[in-house]
Amino acid sequence: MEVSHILHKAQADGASTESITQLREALQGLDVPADLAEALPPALQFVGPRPWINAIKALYSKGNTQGGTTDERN
Amino acid sequence: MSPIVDPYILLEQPKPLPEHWALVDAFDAVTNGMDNPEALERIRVLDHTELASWKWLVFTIKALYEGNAEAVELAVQYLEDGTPPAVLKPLFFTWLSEHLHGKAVFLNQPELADLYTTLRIHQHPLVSRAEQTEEALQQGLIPLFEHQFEKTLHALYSIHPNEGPGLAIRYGVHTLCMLHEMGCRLEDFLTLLVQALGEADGCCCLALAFIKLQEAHPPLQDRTLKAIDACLAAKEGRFANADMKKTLGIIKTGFDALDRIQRKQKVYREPVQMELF
Repeated sequence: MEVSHILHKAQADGASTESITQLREALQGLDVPADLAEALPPALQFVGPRPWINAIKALYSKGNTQGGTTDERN
Repeated sequence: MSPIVDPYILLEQPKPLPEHWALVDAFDAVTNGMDNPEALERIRVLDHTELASWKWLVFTIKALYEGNAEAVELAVQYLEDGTPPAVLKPLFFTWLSEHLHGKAVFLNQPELADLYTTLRIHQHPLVSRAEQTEEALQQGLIPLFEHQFEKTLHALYSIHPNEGPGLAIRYGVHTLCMLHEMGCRLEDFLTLLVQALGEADGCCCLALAFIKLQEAHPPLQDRTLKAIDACLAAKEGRFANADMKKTLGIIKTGFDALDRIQRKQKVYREPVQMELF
């Protein structure tokens, strides 16, 4: 029996639209790596504190002409 | 008082305060992927105006690495505009957009774009692992394949509370179809599926693979029904929840009806064949 027919008939017989959508997605096939890469959320790597702080220093100094470059404590 | 643009400068004072150490330790920990619950607990109560935004930056970064979009959204609200850490807000919004909608917002500041590029891994580690899993299968390294397959399935299942189970099952169905084409008996992988996805979702994954395969191989319909039965007999899973089980029950009824028709046709044909011979 064709999958599309099975899903269509199940919906006609009272299956919820949400479950049919989920089944359609699960049965649609998958290309590794392309489809998997597309389906996964962005992955991040740990870079330590410096890149974060350096970006803040550069951006904050740009946005504050009155100062705010490096040693702003006190 | 000037804002603090580099929290490490706090430690250069003659007598740094315990909360300054806690802030720097917590920042170090979250940006290096290490646990430091004591430091996080100590900064939680930090409400000095000049340090509060740094505290919330720590919690935003922590949530970001955990892939917790809700916590990122919440923490980023506390990065008060005008404070140094607030300049990173567009980066967090970009991540949220990519995480929730699959589309990154363009970062028009080169510093932010560079930082995002540095943070962002070109290929998700799970994609690499899935590639290694397929390679192990193709080379006939079955124990390695089984180990990698189970780990990948479980990692996909756990990656996101909503989309994870569906993605894991889609990947499982894809791999089971490959195994079938290689002549493997899919029921032999049920234990692995159950270990990775739990009983209901593991059985559901097997049932869906059979539903897909029976399209080209009608004799698999009996095994499809058995797999659906196993799923329906299990407690609810995250994918095979009550609604999904109801749908699988409807699909099973459709297969049963087809089976009855096929049996009737078989009974009807036999006398005709007898007459011919």
